Amino acid sequence: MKSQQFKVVDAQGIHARPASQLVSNSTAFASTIALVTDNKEANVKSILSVMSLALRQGDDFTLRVEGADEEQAFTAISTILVEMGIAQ
Amino acid sequence: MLAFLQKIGKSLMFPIATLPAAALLVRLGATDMLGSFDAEWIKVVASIMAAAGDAILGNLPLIFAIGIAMGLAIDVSGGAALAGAIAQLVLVSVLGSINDKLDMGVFGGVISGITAGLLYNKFHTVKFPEWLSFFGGRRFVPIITSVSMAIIAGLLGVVWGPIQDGIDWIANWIIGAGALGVGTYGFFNRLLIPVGLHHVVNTVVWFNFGEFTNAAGEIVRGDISRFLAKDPTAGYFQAGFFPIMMFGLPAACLAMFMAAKKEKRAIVGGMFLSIALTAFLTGVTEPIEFTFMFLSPVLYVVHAVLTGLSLAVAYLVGFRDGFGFSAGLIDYVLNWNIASRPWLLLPLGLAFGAVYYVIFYFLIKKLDLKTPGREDDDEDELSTDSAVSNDLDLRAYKTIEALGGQNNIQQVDYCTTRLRMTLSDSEQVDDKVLKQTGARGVMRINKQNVQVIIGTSVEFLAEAMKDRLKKGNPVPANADAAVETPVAPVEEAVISSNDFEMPITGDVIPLSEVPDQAFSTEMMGPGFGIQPKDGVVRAPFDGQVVMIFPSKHAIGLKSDTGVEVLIHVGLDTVKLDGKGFELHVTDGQLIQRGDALLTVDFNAIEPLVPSIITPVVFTSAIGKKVVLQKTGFQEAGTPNIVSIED
Repeated sequence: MKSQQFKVVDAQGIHARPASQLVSNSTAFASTIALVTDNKEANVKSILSVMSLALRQGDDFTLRVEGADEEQAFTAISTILVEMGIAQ
Repeated sequence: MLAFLQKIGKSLMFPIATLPAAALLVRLGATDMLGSFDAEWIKVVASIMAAAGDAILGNLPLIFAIGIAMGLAIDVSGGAALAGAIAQLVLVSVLGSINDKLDMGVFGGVISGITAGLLYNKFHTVKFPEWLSFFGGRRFVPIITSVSMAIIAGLLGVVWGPIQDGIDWIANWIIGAGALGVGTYGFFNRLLIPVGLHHVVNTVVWFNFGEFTNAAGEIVRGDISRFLAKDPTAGYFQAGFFPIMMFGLPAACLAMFMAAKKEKRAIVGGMFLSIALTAFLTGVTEPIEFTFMFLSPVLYVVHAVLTGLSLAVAYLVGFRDGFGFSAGLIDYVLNWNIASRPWLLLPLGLAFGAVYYVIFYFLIKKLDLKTPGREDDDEDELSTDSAVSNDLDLRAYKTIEALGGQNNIQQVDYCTTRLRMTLSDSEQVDDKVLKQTGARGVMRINKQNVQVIIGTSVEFLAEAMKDRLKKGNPVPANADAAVETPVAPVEEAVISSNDFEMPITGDVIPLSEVPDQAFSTEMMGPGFGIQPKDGVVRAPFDGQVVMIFPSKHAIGLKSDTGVEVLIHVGLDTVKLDGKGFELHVTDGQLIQRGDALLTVDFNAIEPLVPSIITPVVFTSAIGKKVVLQKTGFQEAGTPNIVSIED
């Protein structure tokens, strides 16, 4: 299992557009990919699930990847988060 | 009345199942068997075996009270069983307080069980005011049972004394009446078992009658003690039991087996074999006798008459034998040397075996007696003629009960995924039980209408329920089993065009014409757009709210069939931060098609955002195509707008 904490930097929070980016880039992986907050956990492969976290600018969350291809999946998703200016 | 007796007989099958094992334990552990060995450790093992078996045989009244109460209870509840045990304990104590010689034996247990079972059925749903509600429902049953039983026991205590005295008088007459007396004794000995009074006769005859001074000069009394002390005139009150217990009753078992329905023989065969063998070896015949005693009292009277006959015949032909335990093979072998003409057992036994077989088989067939394996099994018929699996039938039963029972149900309807129930009172619905049986949710529409979310298998459940309701929702044989909550098969999330309705009144446009790349490129999934003409957003299908963005402009829904939809009202509306939106639902709420989810003041927000075009996106269908079936202006609630294709 690989996990890392992030802070949302996108001014609009993690809304439709960033959520769809995360989803479209995670479905190819076999690993379980989750965004975890204090009281909720979202499956990154579901847009509604990610959106239901309602993450806003400044919120903390943890990216957690677990599975056979967790190395690649973790690298891919954390790269998207940072490069698209969603979180860091 | 006969049906009631049959129910009692059926209820007894449960406790009777333990008896053969108990009988063997007691017999093998007795002081003339394993207990007679010199080795200390064998003696210890023997006494443990005997004590274990005795615990069961010695507590038959209590065990029967529990078994009958449970069997009579409409839902085979443990609460009824507790009430049965309490009833029996109260009965024994009260009788003891009136006269410590009163013993109602198994009969007391039967009365206790019936009392508790009937009271359970009457009171298990009783309701009390709030402050007393802890004592309501099932909890009230043991309470009312203990009070009722105290009164019943008081009456029985008064009545039972004289009856017991009468039997005592008969027993004393029997002693001096020769073959007639011996025969009468045999008759009463069996006839009185159901009412527990055979002990009275036995005590007089077996343990008090006559005196004999043995070789050591001690005086022994009673037919059994004198026989074992080698009194050559004792044993006539015992010998006739050997042909009955070793041959007659096992032959009766064979007759019941042969008379059972062919398809039931395998099921009842094992039971008949074990209880017949128990009788033959140990002379413990209660398992056989209780099998048909209540189911068909006629047979039991026949059995009592034949027992009397056997004792009289044995007396006349000079077959004299006895037992320390009971008239089975073990005692027969042990006492071979002190019996007179023990070889006569074989002809007598074979003769009585033949008589039992013929009479039992003939009577069962002729009178259509419901001995084990011949019951009219309504549950079985139900499951065969409607081709419903047991699990589904059980689920249908439990669903009906959880919906407040047959009387509360006015109509059963269903759609793709939900039971749509019309009830007398939706308050009576037990959500918890419904969920335990596999329902995904319960939605109360109003006082009369309730929807239970089942999934696409709802059709089968609804038909099974309708079937059961026609037949009065009988308790199925496996009612106490838990419904195996089906591990929801990973069904592909699909929704038919007919089950998806226009969420907002307005113009349908292709998703590619939505002026936002996140949507138009299908990044979020396929879908369509709406140019709204009205401010109310309605549920397009039956399902659940799974996501509400804090700024209320986007709402995520999941259909009962697993299809996820995002309705994103307007573009860039996230920055309005909720202004102009009024929400009518909460996260997680169950919804049905047409429910108002959100009201939007489009006039107020239109000037503030790039567009009020509302994309409706199937987020769980990424990679599939949404084909528009209708375009242009459509009222909210119109079905067949789109179809989802691979």
